[in-house]
Amino acid sequence: MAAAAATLPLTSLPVRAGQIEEAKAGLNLFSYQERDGRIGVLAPTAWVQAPVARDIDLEARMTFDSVAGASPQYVSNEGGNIVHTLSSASIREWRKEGMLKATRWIGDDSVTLGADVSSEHDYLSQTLSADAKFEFLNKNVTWAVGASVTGDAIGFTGFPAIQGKRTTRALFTGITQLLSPTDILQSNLAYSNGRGYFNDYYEYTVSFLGRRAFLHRDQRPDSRRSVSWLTRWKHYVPDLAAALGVDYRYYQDSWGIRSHMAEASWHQPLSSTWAVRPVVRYYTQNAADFYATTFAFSSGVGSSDSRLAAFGAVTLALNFSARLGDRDTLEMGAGRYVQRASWRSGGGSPDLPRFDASYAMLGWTRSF
Amino acid sequence: MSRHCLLILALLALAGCANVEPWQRGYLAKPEMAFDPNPATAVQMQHMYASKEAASGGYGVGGGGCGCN
Repeated sequence: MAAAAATLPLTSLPVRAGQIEEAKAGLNLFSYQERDGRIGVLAPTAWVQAPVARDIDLEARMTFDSVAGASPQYVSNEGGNIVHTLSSASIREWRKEGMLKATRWIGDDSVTLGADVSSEHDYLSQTLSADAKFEFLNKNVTWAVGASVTGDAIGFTGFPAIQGKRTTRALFTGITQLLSPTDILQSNLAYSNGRGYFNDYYEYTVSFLGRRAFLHRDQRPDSRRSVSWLTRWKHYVPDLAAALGVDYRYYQDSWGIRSHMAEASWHQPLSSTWAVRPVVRYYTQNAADFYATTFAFSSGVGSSDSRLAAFGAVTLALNFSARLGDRDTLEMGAGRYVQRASWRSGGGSPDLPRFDASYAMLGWTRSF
Repeated sequence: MSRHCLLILALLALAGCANVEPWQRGYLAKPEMAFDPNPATAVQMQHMYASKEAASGGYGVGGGGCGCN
């Protein structure tokens, strides 16, 4: 194995130090279903990446989401207990997303320009991005730096005259470092600054305080600054022909949220055709400063959105892949995602409902 | 936070001393050693998490917003 590895051509270097060697295209089907009749999503995706000139690569992706089910609409303490109530009307919505990126290679370094548009009947998001990658130290180190700006236009079903707008500017930098013939480390730092409309117009809270009831519509600050710091490590185990992946992300934002995410995966070939990759992920966050489940009449900024509560979450997934000949790869996988307030170290938000979801994916990739 | 930053920066600085020659990179070039072997799957997973959790980001620039979050 070592001898074979040593004779690999330099054109197959990792960390993508160089132009794409061959065109690839793929189709993916992603299915997601929440328990208790909540949201279900079916999302087919088509993508392609290819060299189109001697020093230019193109990458394109198109996704079409079909969303159906009911989402949480209001939180109430009527009867003494906090109850999260689903929307009485079952929704059916579609989302289209298109992405295009062009990369120009200048020696071993590269500059990429990208555009992304996501469209729903009441939401339009448009992003422009630019990033550059530079190779150092005999391609042992890759430094990436980038920036993006996103403009979101938020509409409201039944109220066509109302529209919220939000602009988010983001900066990104990261280093990918070869540690040894079997180890790669990547560490990325991202900063995001959003200004504008962050409320969820469809969510509200009904608070019964004494003999009076108060209605509070979801209201959040009109700015959000966040920092994400992601570190990823890949380790190859030659004796088992296996690959270990470990990711850790720390996140904090101006809404008072701090979160930790850790994920581990193990890629194990089962035969010359099949491989299995189990994944385990743990996520935890504390609550936003303005998260609450009851509000007095005078309340200003406040939200009972469970995504802003304190909780822990676990993902368990199992993925299989098969190499079919020299050009085709088939992937399939399934996973379960579960949130519990009690799974947060130190305790989560009381009265947060249990949340369970499962997902499955099927993918096909062809090299040309 | 600042202590964590210093620790990672120190690790990266130490890592910078390593020098892996081109002919030693056979294992690193294997598809399973890519951080995201299938970019479409990676995007879908990040999209799912971003719709159910408050935190996101760190994987790169670009990517559109969504009414789901």
